[in-house]
Amino acid sequence: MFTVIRYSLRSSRGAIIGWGIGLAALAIMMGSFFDMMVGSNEMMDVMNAYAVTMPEFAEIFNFSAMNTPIGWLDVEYFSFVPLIIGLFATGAGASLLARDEEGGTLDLILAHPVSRTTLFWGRFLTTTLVTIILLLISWASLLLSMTWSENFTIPALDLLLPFTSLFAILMFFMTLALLLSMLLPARRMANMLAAMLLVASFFITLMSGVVDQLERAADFSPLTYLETATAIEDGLNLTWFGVFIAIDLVLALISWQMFQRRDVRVGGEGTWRFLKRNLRVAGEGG
Amino acid sequence: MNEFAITIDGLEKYYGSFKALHGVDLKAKRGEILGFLGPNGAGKTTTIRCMLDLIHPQGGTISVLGLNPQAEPEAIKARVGYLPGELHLDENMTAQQIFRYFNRLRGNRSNWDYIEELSDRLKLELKTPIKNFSHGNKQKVGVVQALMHRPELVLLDEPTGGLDPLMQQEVLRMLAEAQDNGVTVFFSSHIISEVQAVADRVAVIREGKIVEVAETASLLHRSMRQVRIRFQQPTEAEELFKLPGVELIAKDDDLGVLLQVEGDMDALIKTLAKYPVNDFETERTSLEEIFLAYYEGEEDK
Repeated sequence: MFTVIRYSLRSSRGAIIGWGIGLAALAIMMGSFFDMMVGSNEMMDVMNAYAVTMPEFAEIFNFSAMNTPIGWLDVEYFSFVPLIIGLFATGAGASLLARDEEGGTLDLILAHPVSRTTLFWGRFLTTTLVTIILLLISWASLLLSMTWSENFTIPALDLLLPFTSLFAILMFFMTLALLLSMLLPARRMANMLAAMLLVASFFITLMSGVVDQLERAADFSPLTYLETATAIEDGLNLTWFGVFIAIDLVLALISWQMFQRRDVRVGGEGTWRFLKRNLRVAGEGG
Repeated sequence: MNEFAITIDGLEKYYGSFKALHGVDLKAKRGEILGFLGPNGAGKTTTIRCMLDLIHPQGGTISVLGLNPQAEPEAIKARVGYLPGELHLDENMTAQQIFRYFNRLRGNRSNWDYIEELSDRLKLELKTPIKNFSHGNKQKVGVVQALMHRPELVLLDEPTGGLDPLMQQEVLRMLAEAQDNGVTVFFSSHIISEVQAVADRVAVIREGKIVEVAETASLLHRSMRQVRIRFQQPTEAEELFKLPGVELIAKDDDLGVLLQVEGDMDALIKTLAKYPVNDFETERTSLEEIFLAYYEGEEDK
């Protein structure tokens, strides 16, 4: 297991560096922009004007709370960062094993005395670890931006709570993409479908506040259960966190069972016959 | 200890509705080199991958080194070296990094001096990234990783593909040396000459079914031969052509005949003794011609 994790981490170095730099830059800007906004009466007037002239628009983005650090973070950071890191999660989940299978390298790795279980969970733990590292980079970068900001201050441990909530949601999309990669003939299809669900979840959750017809749909949208400002103010809702972690584990367990039972391709993408066979294998039960 | 390193009985494998293996029966003796011949799509790779539990058969049984691949895949893989027919390696790693990675997956069982010795013999540059390697150099990495842990059994799918003739010879020498050390070598190929050169026995697979398993020498021995006879004077040797297994191919002139003889030569030689013969030339069919004969039969169907 250690060797699998070590080499999987090695091949994730690029992703950690690339995504880490991007996410860190985004987080570091937050403090400076907040100081700029609260120090500008004109900016505050614009926000107030939005609340009068375009109340729906102001409500979606919660403009009324933007003059507080928590409200600012909620509106300007957590409104879109989950979508960005979510795209990393779907890509990582879909690639967990399917990338090596399509690249033809899985065949030779599995010809070594490493069990499918070890490989699966080794890779899964690595991807989980990389996700945690990216979230910690974001968290630490926000803390860094607070050190040179006059107004942008949130206690470090409180700031960790929305990232904890985000972790459970990201793992949902990651394990969903992983499961789809076990079911669908190609990794890109799994990634695309999971990413589409992520984007759909993002817009349904965002718009459900002003479009009544989307309220029911929002109940089924994972991002609805992402706690950001509420987690900082009232603490993390451990029930929803636990539910999502449980769903993540179930999706991972089903994927693991499917990986145990499937034929490993020599390389390349599969065909739709592959989907039919995988559904039959899944139907036969764990 | 079981006499056989590999025992396969009635192996069946489907890909959807396509039946790739129709009940393969095959045994490889411990310490032998068994050549596995067949054209593309005949079932060679599928058979090998079933032995390593990379794919799951729908019928039949397999025993590799006395173990069932479905029940104890890791125990088998610890004792087997494998070279896939379509070798893909992590392009960002060097050969050295790949050997270290695979060695760690095997619990650091390989001796690094031995890895360097094998690499030197194949003139393999260890510190060059795989992405800068030619197909032949990648194949050398594949050969080394299959042999580096001194396995009891090596399963090689087209081991010399992409190698130049000198390196092909070196790989065949390595296999022969492995055999001298008690290793069982099972390798598929459609380069007939290399199978003929090193294999003790040959198995021929056609449309997912084994159609022939025989010692290479015996297969060659009992195969067709062409016999060219030149008589001292014009001769009507009709009785020669009526012998069992003898067929007249051509008459050069009144003095020369070209015959095709299947099986034993005894009757032909004894009958020929009655005639004044000036010259007698015999040419044994190559394994390639035998192999092609199986497939010509298939195409005729």
